[in-house]
Amino acid sequence: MNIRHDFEVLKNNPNYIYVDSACMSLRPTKVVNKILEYYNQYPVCAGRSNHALSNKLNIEIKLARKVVRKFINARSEEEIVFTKNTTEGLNLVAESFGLCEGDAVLIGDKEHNSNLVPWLRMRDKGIKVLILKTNDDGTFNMSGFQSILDRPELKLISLHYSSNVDGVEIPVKEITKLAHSKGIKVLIDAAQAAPHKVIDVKDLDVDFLAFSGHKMMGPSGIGVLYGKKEALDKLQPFLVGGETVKDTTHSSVEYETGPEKFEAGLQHYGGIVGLGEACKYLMKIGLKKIAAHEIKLNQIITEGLKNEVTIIGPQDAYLRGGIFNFYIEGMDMHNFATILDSSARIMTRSGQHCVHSYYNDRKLPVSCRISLYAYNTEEEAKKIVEEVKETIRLLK
Amino acid sequence: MICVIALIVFGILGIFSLSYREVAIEAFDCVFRRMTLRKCQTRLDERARSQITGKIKRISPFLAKQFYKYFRVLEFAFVILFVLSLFQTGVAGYNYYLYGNCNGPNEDGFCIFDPTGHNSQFSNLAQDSCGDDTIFQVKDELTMNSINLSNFPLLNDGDENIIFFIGCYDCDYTKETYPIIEDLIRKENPTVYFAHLPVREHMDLFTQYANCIYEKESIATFLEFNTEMFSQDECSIDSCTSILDNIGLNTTEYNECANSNESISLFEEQLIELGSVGVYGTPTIFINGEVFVGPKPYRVYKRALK
Repeated sequence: MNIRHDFEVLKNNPNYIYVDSACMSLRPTKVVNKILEYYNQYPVCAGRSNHALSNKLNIEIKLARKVVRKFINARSEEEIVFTKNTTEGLNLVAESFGLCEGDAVLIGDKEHNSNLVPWLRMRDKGIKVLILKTNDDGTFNMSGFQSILDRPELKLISLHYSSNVDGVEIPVKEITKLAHSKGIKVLIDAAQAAPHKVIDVKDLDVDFLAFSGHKMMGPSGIGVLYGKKEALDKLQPFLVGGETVKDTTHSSVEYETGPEKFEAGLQHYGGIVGLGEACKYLMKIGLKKIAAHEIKLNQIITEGLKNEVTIIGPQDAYLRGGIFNFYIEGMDMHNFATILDSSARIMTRSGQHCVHSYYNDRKLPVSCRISLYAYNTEEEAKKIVEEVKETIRLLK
Repeated sequence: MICVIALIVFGILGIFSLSYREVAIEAFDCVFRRMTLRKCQTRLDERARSQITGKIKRISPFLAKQFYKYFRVLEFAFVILFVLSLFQTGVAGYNYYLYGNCNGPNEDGFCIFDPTGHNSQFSNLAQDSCGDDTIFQVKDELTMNSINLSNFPLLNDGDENIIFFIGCYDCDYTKETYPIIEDLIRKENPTVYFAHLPVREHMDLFTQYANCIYEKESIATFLEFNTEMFSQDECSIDSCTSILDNIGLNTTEYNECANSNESISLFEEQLIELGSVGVYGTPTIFINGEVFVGPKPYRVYKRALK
């Protein structure tokens, strides 16, 4: 797979090895052009005015919602809410789900801060936050999960689909089935999954699923919250204002019923149409193909470096998708990442990757994360192996 | 340690650019924490360390390894060098303000504030003079200790500020300096002795004309003659006599005076006196005992006044 020519930044800088896609992916020219199309051709507001430009934008927004629906195989466009990003989607559910004092929510111990902090804040309202420990190798602890399910106060499960720390996926379909059997709703943080694998919400049967545009070749500042129609209908609006209402008086308000109920104020229209284009682009390449490509590259890196570094998560690259997160005992991984960048333009990320709680709990040191995507190549993977080895020699 | 350098460098650059200001703030935070015996949190030093290491690695992994390993030592050395260089820059700035030259009075080394060396240039007597070498031997220092000034034209006798101006009518640097000195005279009214030192042989006669004007007319006419002479693109006997005409003096009378034995004798006496000063180029200006060779900014001359 070679799609580097689709990306302006890579065309202009052929020596760049960008492997920080778990943080922010690069955008193909098609997506950038689509955003420009909005600003150049119909830069107006949608859903309000009734002129030619506004009508054109309305159609584009509908098309984008349709494409996103298709991207995750939702039942209807009514189930697609545009948000700012995954974080907003998760916050929306946390604030609007209607958890009451004494209720409990279950999250994993490897959650991104976006799926931890909103719930920790809910503790102020008397809501319990249960933490499910993952297995030592980072895989999902199914037995632990099953033992928690019997707790009557448990009303909601909020878990990441695949981890940005080690790339490990959880068995969402099985989890959802078990949760539903106990009447528990399921919210999935798919920020790291949506860009890399086929997501079929009908098949998974999850109640809510959130993801971001910027990690899947789409624009920044746009994300999606999928919710089953009946689940969305039960949510209270999170942000309110223009667009979220059908009618108001000075003393009453009648809210919209569709996704607009949650899309307060004028929206990031350029982002929405860009996201639609990104979904089309990914579907055209094929998400199965992308996933297989990333695993292949990860296998090259894992084979080359498994004896040199400590890998966070399972040793088998197949279980880590496009994530190769590592550290070397006694070595400053921030410096390591900076050297990789300044010497070979290998752009990684060092730190605790917004999963401080997991690092602190497991007493893991700061790590350097290589997160691969469709535009990375085998040559790059080999070069990474070579440069990481050389940098280790340099810092030892 | 490197944060100290970053703080100063980026602090200055930060005046002009927001991006540098951010680095300066990081550096400040780092320095402040280190001074209070805490760990630098911004990691600015570590970032610099690894970024430079990476760049060296492109050229030589071995050198990069050594740089990374001995960074703290190098950092310390760089900071010491930086502080020394900063101190020297301060001294240079101070000297430039006082003397118009970074290296001190009448030095000829490179000066960053005057990169062309303009303020230290002068018309070199040793190169241009065809006169008697024995009179103008190079001395260790320029001094007015043994000079008798009574033979030189004098303006404003009795002021506490005493200037001795030595220049030549056909020398570029004197021509450039004279208007500055005129300005100083106009504003500060000091006592000024004028000496014309003919750097080139054909200019001897000009001194004699100037002496005659001073003797026969007044200091005001002498100054008028000076102003005209220093503003000439090129001095010649013709241009000199034309100036005499312009300021209303009898050319024939002054030709006779300039070529008289008395004038020649006075000129020779003046040369001997100038030789005792140790002058080696023009303009050379003594102000209250301080000496300035070459054209200096107005402030330098002004500062030397009491």
